[in-house]
Amino acid sequence: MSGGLSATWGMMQLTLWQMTRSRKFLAMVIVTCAPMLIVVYALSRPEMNEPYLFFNELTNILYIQLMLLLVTLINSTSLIRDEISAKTIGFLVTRSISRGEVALSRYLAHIAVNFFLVALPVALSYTYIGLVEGGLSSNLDILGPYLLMILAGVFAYGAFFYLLGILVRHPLMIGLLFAFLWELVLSNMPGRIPYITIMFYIRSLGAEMITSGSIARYDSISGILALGVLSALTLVLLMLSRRSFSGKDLI
Amino acid sequence: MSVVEAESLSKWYGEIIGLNSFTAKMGHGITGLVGPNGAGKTTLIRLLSGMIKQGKGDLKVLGMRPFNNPELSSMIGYCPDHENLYFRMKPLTFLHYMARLNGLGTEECRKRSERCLSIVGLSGENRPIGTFSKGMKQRIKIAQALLNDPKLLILDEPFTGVDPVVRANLMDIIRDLSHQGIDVVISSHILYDIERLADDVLLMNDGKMLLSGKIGEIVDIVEDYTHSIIINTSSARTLGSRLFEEGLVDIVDVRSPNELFVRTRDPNSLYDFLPRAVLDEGIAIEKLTPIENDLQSIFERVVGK
Repeated sequence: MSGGLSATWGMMQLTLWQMTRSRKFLAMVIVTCAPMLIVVYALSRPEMNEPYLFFNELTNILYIQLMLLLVTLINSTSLIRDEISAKTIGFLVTRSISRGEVALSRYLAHIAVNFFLVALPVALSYTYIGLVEGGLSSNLDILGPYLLMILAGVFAYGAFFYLLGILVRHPLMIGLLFAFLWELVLSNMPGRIPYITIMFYIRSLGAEMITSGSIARYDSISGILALGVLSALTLVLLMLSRRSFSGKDLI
Repeated sequence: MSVVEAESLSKWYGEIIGLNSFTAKMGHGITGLVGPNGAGKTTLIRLLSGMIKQGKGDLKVLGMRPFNNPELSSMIGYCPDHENLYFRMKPLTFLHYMARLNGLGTEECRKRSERCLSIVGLSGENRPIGTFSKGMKQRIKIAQALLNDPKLLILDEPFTGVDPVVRANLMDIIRDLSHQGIDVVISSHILYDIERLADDVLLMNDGKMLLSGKIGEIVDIVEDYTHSIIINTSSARTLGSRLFEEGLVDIVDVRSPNELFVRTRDPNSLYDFLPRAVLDEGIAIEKLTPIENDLQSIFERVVGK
C-alpha cells in the first residue's frame, strides 16, 4: 500500500476505533435497538394480523424520521468538532496526510458506523418477524428499499451535519433545529414545500419501491431523480466540508 | 539554509494580534523561544507546525510553507502544549495509529512505536493514557512527535507543571535527540529552562521579537536575573531548611506546610539539587511552578536598553 493510501486507511481505522469504543456508541446502540422490544411485544399479541405492515410503519416513523436524523446529528457534527474542542486535532493534521484526505477519510469511516447503528435494528426486526411468521422470503421487497433509504440518508444527512460541525463552534443546537423543525415539519407540509428538505428525496426513494403503508402515500418524485439529487447534494456538501476544513485555523 | 525563516510575519485572531511583524531566522541545533504568556510563542509554534495559516508576511520552515503541507509535515515532529490525548488508548495503540497517519505500513508502525516508547522510557506501559501522570503524558507526546524520524522537532512548553525528576529526564531526552542531528524549536516562559538546553534563543513579547542570539550572549545581558519558584511538596519546612543550608536560595518563604516559595540567583545548582532531594533524601516534590515575573523584569530591562 502506498504511503498516501496507508495514511488514509489509517485515518479511517482510527475514526472507527474512536467511534465504536465510546460510551456514546453504546448509548446509541441501546437507543436505536430499543424499538425492537416493541416489535417483540407486538408480535406476541393475538390481534397482530399484518406484521409486515406494522414493520413498515415502525421503520418509516421511528427509523427513517427519527433515528436516522438523531444518529447522523450526534455523530456527524462531532466528528471533527470534538477533535477541535479536545485539541487533539493537532495530532491528526501535522502528519503526512493532507487535510482534505483527513476530512474525506473520517467522513467515509463514520458512514459505516451510522449505517450500522440505524440499519442493524431494522434488519434484525425484519428477520425476527420473518422467523415468527415462518418465512423471510415473501416480503424481502420491503427491507431492501428501507436499507437503501437509510444508506442514502446516512450519506446526505451525514454530509450536512459534518459540514455544520466544521463550520460552527456549537453545532448541536442548529442541528436540532434543522432536523426537527426544517426536516420534519417542512417535509410534512402540503404542496411543493417538502421539495426543499432532504427527507422528501429519501422518502421518494422508498415510495417508488414500497407499495403499502404510509410511505407509499407521500408525494414523491421518481426514485432515480431522488437518488441523483441526494448524490449531488452529498457531493457538494462534502466538497464544502473538505474545502472549509483545509483552510481552517485549528486552535 | 535556515531551519526557519520568518519575514514580517503577522497573525491576527479577529481583533487580537498574535504575532506582529515578526522577523527571525532559526538555525540548526536547539532554538529556544522565551516570553511570558501572551508573548506569541504558541502562535508562532502553531504557524510553524501548519496548524494555522499566516496573515501577512512570509514563513518558510525547512524551505517550505508550512500550512496544510503534508510533505513538510512528514519531516516535522510537533508536540503541543496541552495534555489532551486519546485517553482511552494505550500508548502503543496511540503511537501505532499516529504512525499510520504518517503513511507507514503495519510492521514499520509497530517497530517505530516500540522504538519511540523506548526513547522516552515508557516501554512496557500498558495502561490507558488517561491514567498517566503529567510527566508520562509529556513523554508520550514527545514519542508521537518522533514517529516519522523528524528533521525538526517543535516542542511547545514541554516542562510546564512537571516535577524536577521528570524535568531533568525530559531535558536529557531533548539533548540526546539534538545530538542525533534533529533540530529543535522549543518554547518556554522560563528563561532558565531554555538556558540549560538551547544553543540560540529568541526573546519574545507582545507578538514581537525583542532579542535574539546565542544563549550565552542573552544570559550575559540579563546576567543578574533572579529566578523564583513555587514548590509544592509534602515537607515545605524541611526542604526550605535544606535549600538554605546548601546556600542555594536567597529567599525562602514557607507559605503553607505544602507550599514553598524560593528565589535564587543560581537556578542551575537549585535544579540540580532538587532531583537529589527527591531521590536521596526522600522529600516528595509534587510540582514546580517557576514564576514569570522575573522574566517580565528582564524584558523591561531589555526594552529599556
